[in-house]
Amino acid sequence: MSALLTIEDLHVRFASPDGAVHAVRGVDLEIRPSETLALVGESGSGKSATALAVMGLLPGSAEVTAHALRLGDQDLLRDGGRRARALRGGRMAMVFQDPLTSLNPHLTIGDQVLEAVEMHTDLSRGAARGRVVELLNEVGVPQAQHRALAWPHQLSGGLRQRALIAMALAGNPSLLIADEPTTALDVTVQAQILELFQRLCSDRGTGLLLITHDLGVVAAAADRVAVMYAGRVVERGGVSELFSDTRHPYTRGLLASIPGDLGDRDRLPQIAGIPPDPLALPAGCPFHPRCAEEIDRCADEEPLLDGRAACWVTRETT
Amino acid sequence: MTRPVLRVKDLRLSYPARGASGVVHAVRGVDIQVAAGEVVALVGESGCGKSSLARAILQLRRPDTGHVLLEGPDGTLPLHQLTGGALRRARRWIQGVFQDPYASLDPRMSIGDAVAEPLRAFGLASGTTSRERVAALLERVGLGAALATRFPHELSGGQRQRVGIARALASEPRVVVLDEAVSALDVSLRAQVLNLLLDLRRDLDLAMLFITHDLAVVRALADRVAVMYLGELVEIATRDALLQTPRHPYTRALLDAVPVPDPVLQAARVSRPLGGEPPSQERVPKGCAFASRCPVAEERCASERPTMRTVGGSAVSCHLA
Amino acid sequence: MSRREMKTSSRAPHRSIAARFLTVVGLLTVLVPGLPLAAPSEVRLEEKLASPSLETLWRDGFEPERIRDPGPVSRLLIETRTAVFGDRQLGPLLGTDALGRCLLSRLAWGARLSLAVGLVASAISLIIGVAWGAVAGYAGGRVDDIMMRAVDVLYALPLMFIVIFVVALLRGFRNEHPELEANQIIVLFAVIGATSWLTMARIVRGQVLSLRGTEFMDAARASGSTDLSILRRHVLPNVTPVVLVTLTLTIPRVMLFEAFLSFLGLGVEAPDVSWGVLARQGFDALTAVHVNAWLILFPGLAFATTLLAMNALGDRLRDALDPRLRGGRQ
Repeated sequence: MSALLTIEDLHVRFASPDGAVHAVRGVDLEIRPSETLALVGESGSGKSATALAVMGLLPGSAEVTAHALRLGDQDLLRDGGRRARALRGGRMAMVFQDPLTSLNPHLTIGDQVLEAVEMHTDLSRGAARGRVVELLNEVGVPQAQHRALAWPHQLSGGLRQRALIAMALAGNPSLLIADEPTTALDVTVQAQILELFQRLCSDRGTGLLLITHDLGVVAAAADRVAVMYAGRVVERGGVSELFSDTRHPYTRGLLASIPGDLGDRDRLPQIAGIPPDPLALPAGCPFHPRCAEEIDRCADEEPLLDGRAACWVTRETT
Repeated sequence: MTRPVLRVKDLRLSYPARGASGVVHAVRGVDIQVAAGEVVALVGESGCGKSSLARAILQLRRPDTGHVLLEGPDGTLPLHQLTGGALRRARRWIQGVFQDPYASLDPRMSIGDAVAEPLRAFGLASGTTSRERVAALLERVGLGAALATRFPHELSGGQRQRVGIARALASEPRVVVLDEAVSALDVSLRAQVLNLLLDLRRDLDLAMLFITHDLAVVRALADRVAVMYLGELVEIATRDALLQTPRHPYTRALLDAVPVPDPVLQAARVSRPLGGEPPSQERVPKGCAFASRCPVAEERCASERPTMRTVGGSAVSCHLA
Repeated sequence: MSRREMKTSSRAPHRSIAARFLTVVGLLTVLVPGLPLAAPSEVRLEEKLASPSLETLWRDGFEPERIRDPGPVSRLLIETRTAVFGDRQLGPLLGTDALGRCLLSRLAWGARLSLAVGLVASAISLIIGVAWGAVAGYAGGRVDDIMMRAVDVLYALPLMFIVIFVVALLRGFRNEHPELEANQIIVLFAVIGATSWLTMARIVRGQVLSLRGTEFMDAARASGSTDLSILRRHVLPNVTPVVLVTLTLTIPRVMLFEAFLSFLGLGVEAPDVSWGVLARQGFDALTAVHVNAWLILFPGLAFATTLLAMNALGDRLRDALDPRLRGGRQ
């Protein structure tokens, strides 16, 4: 089965008043149809920049280079991102974190989904309206015909997010990118939305790039996982092996610092220090100042992703 | 339980709204108590009224009815009745830490001035003494004393949240109400701040009311847990009792919905996510508020509002518990 | 950008051309008594309506007594000037008016009055406007309603006519009771200031309203601060950016208002001189036969450049102050 999304050696650089920020420093990813890949990381890891680079949504001042950035057989870097823009909203679509600010407060959700449908299909007005109701039903909006007339502020967070997903589906995308889609939602609503994603992927064969910092969401929704730190993928693998056979100290730290039962301890385990300043990355492995397992080599040379993890310590011991 | 430091009885709060009914019933009769050295977690989802409850307890919005009793050093303070100067002085013993680390600090005030504000307001210290106390507080929460001259926009979210905690501790309160204090933080920072709170609880014998929607935080920090739904409490239990033997259907649904960071376990769970949505706070249903979504609801659930009763050591508000 | 960056960046408002220009104008205006200019009231009928020329650069004949009512600082400056320059003075480089008075000198001395009125009247409107708006916005409810209704009513009144009416009334009163040497300029300050605070009040109230919903205001109350303390320590500093920007727009408006009044003959009276007075006199000197354009051109330019600089500075200030609040490390 050929890959839906292929990313090879992606670099994203921003110009900032303090210097060039190298937000994404050589990322390789691959997503197959019907597959959900979770991209995990904290603020500053470069996960959002990666997604925006795929969609061609980065500001003009950003510099995007890659050995390959393809959706199916379409080169997304061609024509300075014009190809990406043409496919955007159609074959590939994105859902953002905060449904309240992602929706236009002055238009009903029906009108907003209609706009998406008209832009990405050839349906007539009447047929398009019918499609809007179909989409709203598909994403689980109750009384879709009636709800289509509602304004965003009249709906709950969960319904707003469903409306956004409906807009994303309007163009029948083969790739869906969701950036922290449930972070702003309650846990029961989150469960509903994750179940919706699962259903959509299996029914439509859509591939899903799910960006999150919540390992619980990863466990519930992902098939494969890539963990990012300081602009690079530091660990990747199938979801079960990531949890049962963790290979990178950062991932181990993340798993351990999920607040849970203290047991006999009187403190929660935590990762020391703070994420690095993208303008002043440490030499060698960017995680080494916070790493409990570092060896000499870590401060000198940055490890490349080799198999499952980018870590000297793991390599030494396997 | 040792004598409670904070006692809330039958608290009700509503405020005007734009909708047809014109009233939003945010808090509909809440009873809760917190003892010294105890952490009570208040859990609920958006729209359940937990933030309104926090504000009502702190008297940032005056409750419609109900009692908020605080044990000060000189006796019981009926916060709900106090006004003006008396209320202001009583605030010394009950402080708050708010959710948004970016919005809870005045962007034009230095960190030192922000932390010193309670000291100045309550006349506890000034001048050099104040500066020394501020330095000590900043150190206590794991920030260098040098940060006192900086401004909020120069700090990260985690640092700002710690400043909020330092400020809350400045007046040496008996009770601290924390409203989603770690929700806006990254996962790795969350653990650091929670550890700080654990240390403070141990060292200062603080009573803490911790409002959160994150059950993982509950697991780590709470002694007792109260679950809130549509303006009222549906279950109150010790942490272990709640997590192991939840008695209210909503509590069970909530626990079911939290994804476990273990794909094997997660896949093995039979998950039926709770459908639908909570009723509007403007049109509160007659009977049990959860009846519309409850998987085991019976006829009388829709017409009769249940009351809180004790079942096996926990307090539950359900006809079927 | 951080505060540190703002101080060194070229986009910082205090480094803009407008700011530097205004600084120069401000300095010169303060130093006018010490500059080797002719006395503004020195009449030389033989030179009346002379067009600008560089013919006579320097000449003698300065008499310090011609400067009317100098204050102690002015006196000191004049003494310094006579010590340095003797009785030499600059010639009529910008031409003369119908009484042969040097336009350059009158422009310089007029600047003092125009800018003084601009600053003082704006200060009055600032104090009233900020206090009114802050109290109304913070108190909310009934108090807010009443206070802002008052503002609405005042807005609806034809202030121009009221000011003219009040000034004319005060003139008449003074004429009947010449023993009341009320300083008419101060009256002018007060009248203009009292009618210019409305916009400031509205803007400040709006800002305070948006502040009221923020978490740090709740936190301040929870920290036990009194309302007065909150107004002083939280509300005012956060309102300052908006106030500063509005101020750079208020001052030009006030100066134009003074010019308008003086043009009508209701503002500054002879022999005092302001740019408005000069505009009036320049206008009067326009005839079909001899245009005498310089008499209105130079006051007009003076006004235009100064007001333009203030507006530009206001723009820069707004840019510098707003993003700073939004920027910074995440």
